[in-house]
Amino acid sequence: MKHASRPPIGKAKIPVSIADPGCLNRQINLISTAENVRMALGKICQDLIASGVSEDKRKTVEMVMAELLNNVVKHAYQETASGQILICFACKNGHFCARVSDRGLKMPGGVLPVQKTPNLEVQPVDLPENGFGWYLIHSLTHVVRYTRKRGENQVYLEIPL
Amino acid sequence: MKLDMTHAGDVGIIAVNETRIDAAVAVQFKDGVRELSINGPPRIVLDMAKVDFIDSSGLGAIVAAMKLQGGTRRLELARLSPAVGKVFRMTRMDTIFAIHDSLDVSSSS
Repeated sequence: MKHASRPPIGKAKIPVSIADPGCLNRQINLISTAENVRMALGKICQDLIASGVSEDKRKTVEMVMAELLNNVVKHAYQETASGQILICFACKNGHFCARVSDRGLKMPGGVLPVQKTPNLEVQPVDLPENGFGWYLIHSLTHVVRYTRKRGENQVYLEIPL
Repeated sequence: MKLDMTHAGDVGIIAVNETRIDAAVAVQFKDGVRELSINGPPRIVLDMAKVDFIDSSGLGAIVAAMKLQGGTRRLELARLSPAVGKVFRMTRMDTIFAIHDSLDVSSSS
């Protein structure tokens, strides 16, 4: 397992993601079903409880991870319930850091969906039922990045604790 | 998806006896609320006291359940947990639904 390299002496404080992107030592492997997502979220929450993270922050982490994982189940793997997902995570420097990897379809356009405030200025019959997920992810994360390499989607994120 | 309806005057209170309304159960939730509220009272209140987690699928299912009530019936929510209330505030869905702190909903609001 790669270990963190120390930032050079004298440099300004480096964001967690640049200082130590590789060392996310907690791992969960799952197959892409909604039930397995629940299981994975439960494991992450158990870890956070053991690390003394407050319930409010745990719920925030759970919400963001639920949205990301549901997106993989629904969109990357098109609800086939048979795709592998790898979650690597850790709490570092006051942040929950995680990388979610899958080998499903790439993100449309190759980029993360933008943060769009849901439009509620419509007739009740036209109220949106979708589109809240990425808004919540962007609102609750400090960093969220998407890359695609060698047929694999990777989303990296940091949530302040 | 355990949903139980009781009546209080002209209000139907649907207790959501689950801890999560999420992607795993969103469809069952929407269908369950629809079945209970068909031919039901003019006001329906979802008692969310037991729900400590919703994701965007759950939120969408609650919106869908509201839309299924049609124009003549309102869907109201009661006893949102702090985490669930936060989701409604962040998405500004708290401006769309009538949200009650308790089940004392007998007077029309």
